[in-house]
Amino acid sequence: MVDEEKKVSHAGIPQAVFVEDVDSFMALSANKGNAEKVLRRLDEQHNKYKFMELNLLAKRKRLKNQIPDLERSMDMIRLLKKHKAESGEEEILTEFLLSEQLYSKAKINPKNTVYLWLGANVMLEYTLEDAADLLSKNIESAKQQETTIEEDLDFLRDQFTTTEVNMARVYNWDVKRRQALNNNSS
Amino acid sequence: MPPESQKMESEVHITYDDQQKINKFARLNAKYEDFKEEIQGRKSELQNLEDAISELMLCDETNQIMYKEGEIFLYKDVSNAQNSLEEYKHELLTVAANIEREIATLKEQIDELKAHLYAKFGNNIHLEMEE
Repeated sequence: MVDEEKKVSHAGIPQAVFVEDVDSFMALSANKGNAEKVLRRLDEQHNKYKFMELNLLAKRKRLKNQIPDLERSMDMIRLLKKHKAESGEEEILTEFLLSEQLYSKAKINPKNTVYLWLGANVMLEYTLEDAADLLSKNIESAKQQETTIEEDLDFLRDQFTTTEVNMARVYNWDVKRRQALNNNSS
Repeated sequence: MPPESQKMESEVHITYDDQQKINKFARLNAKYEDFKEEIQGRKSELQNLEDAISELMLCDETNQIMYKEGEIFLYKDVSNAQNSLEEYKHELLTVAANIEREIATLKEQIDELKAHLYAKFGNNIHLEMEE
């Protein structure tokens, strides 16, 4: 009975079907004019959509944090490159973050390689060029993912907006029906 | 069959097309909020940057200052730091201008949809944003 309401689509998000005409919708064999039942079902669907939205929003937030991190690494590599081009072998004097709120003077020997943290406790040495390539690829794919999530969110929003409208209309339909009943009986 | 309205003004038939418009409205509205939030962040960043630049102007030119880059501080000449800051500011201004433009286009579209939907549904629809 629920199947006819949902069609497969976008990243597994079921589509909410727009109700063209409430009268004929309520007359469907699955609904039998039982507004309470239909409303409960729509509400359930609405909750599911909200849950999916929560998931997607969390994912988006993670990406939004990740992208600036990657870009910062990229900036550092650019800085090393620039320093090397301008000052050659000269050391870079920095205050280096040892721990949160704790800095110490550190000299950095300009080298042609950096180490990138790949995750899973692995760090790999890259030349500056390769590291920049890898990072820009990662940034690009993170941005790509972000776009996909945005699209899914848009689609999802359409679905629950439709569901909300459906709920309001079924509700109104029921109010009208009750009034008609009252008028008839009195 | 025309809807047998009249007695109940609230009975306006919602077509599929209307639903699409409502959906679009909700979509644009959400985007609008996202952008608003982003521009706020950019603006405070810009403000910090302005403060840094004016602070730097008071600095002794011969001094070396610490310039935060990522998680570390670099030692830089005042003029060098000034350049970096100005560059950064320029970048940020471009980004902010882009966002402002997006917001303006969104607002236009939203207003258009709003006018259309209000014209059709009158008081039966609530489209104002919660501020």
